[in-house]
Amino acid sequence: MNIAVKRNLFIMRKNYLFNAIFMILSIPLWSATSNPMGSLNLTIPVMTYSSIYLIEQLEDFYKYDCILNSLPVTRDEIVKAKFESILVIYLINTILTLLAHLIYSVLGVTEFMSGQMFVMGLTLSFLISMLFAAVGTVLIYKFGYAKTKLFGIIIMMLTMCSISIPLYILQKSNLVQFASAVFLILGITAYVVSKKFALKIYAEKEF
Amino acid sequence: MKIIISNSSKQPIYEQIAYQIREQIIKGVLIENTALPSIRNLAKELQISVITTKRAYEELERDGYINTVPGKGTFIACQNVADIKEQKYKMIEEDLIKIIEESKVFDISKSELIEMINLIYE
Amino acid sequence: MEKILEIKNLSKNYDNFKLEDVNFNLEKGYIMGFIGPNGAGKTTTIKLIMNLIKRNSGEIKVFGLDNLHDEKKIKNRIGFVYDECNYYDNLSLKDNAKMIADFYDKWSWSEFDKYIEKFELDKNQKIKELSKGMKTKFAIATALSHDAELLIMDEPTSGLDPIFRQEIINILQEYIEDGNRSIIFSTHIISDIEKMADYITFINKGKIVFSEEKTKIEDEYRIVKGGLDILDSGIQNNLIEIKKNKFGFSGLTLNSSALHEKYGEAIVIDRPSIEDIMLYMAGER
Repeated sequence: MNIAVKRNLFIMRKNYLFNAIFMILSIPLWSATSNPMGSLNLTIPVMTYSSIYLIEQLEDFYKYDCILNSLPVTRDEIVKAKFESILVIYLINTILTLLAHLIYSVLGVTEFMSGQMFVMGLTLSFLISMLFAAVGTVLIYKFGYAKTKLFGIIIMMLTMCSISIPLYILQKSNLVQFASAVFLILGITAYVVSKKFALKIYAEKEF
Repeated sequence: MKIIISNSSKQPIYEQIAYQIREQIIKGVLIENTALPSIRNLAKELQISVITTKRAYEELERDGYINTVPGKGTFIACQNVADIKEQKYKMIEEDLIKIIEESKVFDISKSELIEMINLIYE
Repeated sequence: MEKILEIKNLSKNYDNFKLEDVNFNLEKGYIMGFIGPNGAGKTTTIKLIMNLIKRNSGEIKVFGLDNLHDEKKIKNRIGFVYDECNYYDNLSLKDNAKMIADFYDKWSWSEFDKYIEKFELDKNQKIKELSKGMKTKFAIATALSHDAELLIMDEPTSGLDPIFRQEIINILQEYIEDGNRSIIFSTHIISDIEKMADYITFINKGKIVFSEEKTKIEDEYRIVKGGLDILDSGIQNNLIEIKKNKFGFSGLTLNSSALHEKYGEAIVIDRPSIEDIMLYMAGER
């Protein structure tokens, strides 16, 4: 694995514990809410969000950009590694969450979902994660960590509170499959477009 | 080879080095074909900058006291005996000028000076 | 002689500050002291070399390669020590080093350990527990541990006591002993420069005042002192900078022999230290 990606994963070490606890606690709780898929479409994004933002917070706090950009690594490589890390972190979080879900369902605490709702849950989690992490990264590059953080928290709160409504509507209609495809495509688009912008913005930054 | 640098002297360090090496060559302390340390080694030992030792060696080489053989190092050049004698004359002359000037300031006459020389010479 | 660093017509514009037409070179195997008052443009120049900020015009070549086009290749061979940049406070020295080490082709853990031991640091201590001096020592240790051919250092001795400063000077002189490596460092502590620099580049208000061999500077600059009665335009034209007090004047000049011929005993001619030169040309005494 790329040195720069390894570096990102190393920096966010502290976050693994928080994520694990959050995941273990939140999965059974979602079933009690109106958003039973919350374990997917929200837990994973929250975990991803906190990882990425922790990395950014540390980088910002320590002004590490100065040292990072003095090392033999190009600006493009730094940005690409950041985006690769987002995917890696998302994947790890997804696998862990699914595993935890499996364990919970075996223990009888929750039901294991499957079928179209499950797919929609996953694709929605991908979309939301990309919006937080990928788009978030571009915003951080452009506006700095402090401003973006506030924005990110507000959006996350809003999402968590209001997401069950559109989901309910979707569930009642027959558009679940369609919705899944849309979420996936939007998620990929968000990732790819963000990466393009991030490359451009970071290339011009001054430290 | 002995090199002592004075930081408080008005003479720049490269001059001090060149002077002391030249002095030792004239006095016969450093003889022909003796290898000198490299400019970098000398700089490190004396804890001064490389450009200073380089300059000192450049001056000595310009005046024919040392030779640098590429790939081998720097060596004391063969000295012309007549040249050395001339150098020695010059050094004593310089000192004599200083002594005579001082004597004039303190009102010591030429004959008194020659008497002193006669006494001391024995 | 091979040029390890070439800077041509370098310019950078900010709102309140301009770096204008900076030109200087450094040859392989030598140490360059980069001096100037605060805000003169030293850090800006160093950041431009490392491409941390973008230049408006000019060219920078390191090891004969363009610093934009071959950025990665160049940075692999550069060791850097900055005044401001920080490491991860909550991580240990070892962990911080690990995050840097992987990027360099020629990183040597044995060299790193050797310096850490020499500087009496504890690898497992966290950065936040270190004093400024110790952080600088750590930065120097990482800069010296990957066989860098060029060391770029911004105030590498600030925060260090005189004993340790001497030790760093010795280490740096040893580092360039084989003639294949060079060092450029900026500093306020002129006495460090006077000892170890081969070349001195003096920058003031964004412009290079001179960039010269130290021995040539020693040859050429003099301080001329005399009474106010002889201070006429003739003398003033020969002085780069002049300072007056109630009892006389003193000035920096490159034409001391001409002045000596004309004024003889009426003036005193002294050799200035590098610090004197900088104070005359850039500051209030």
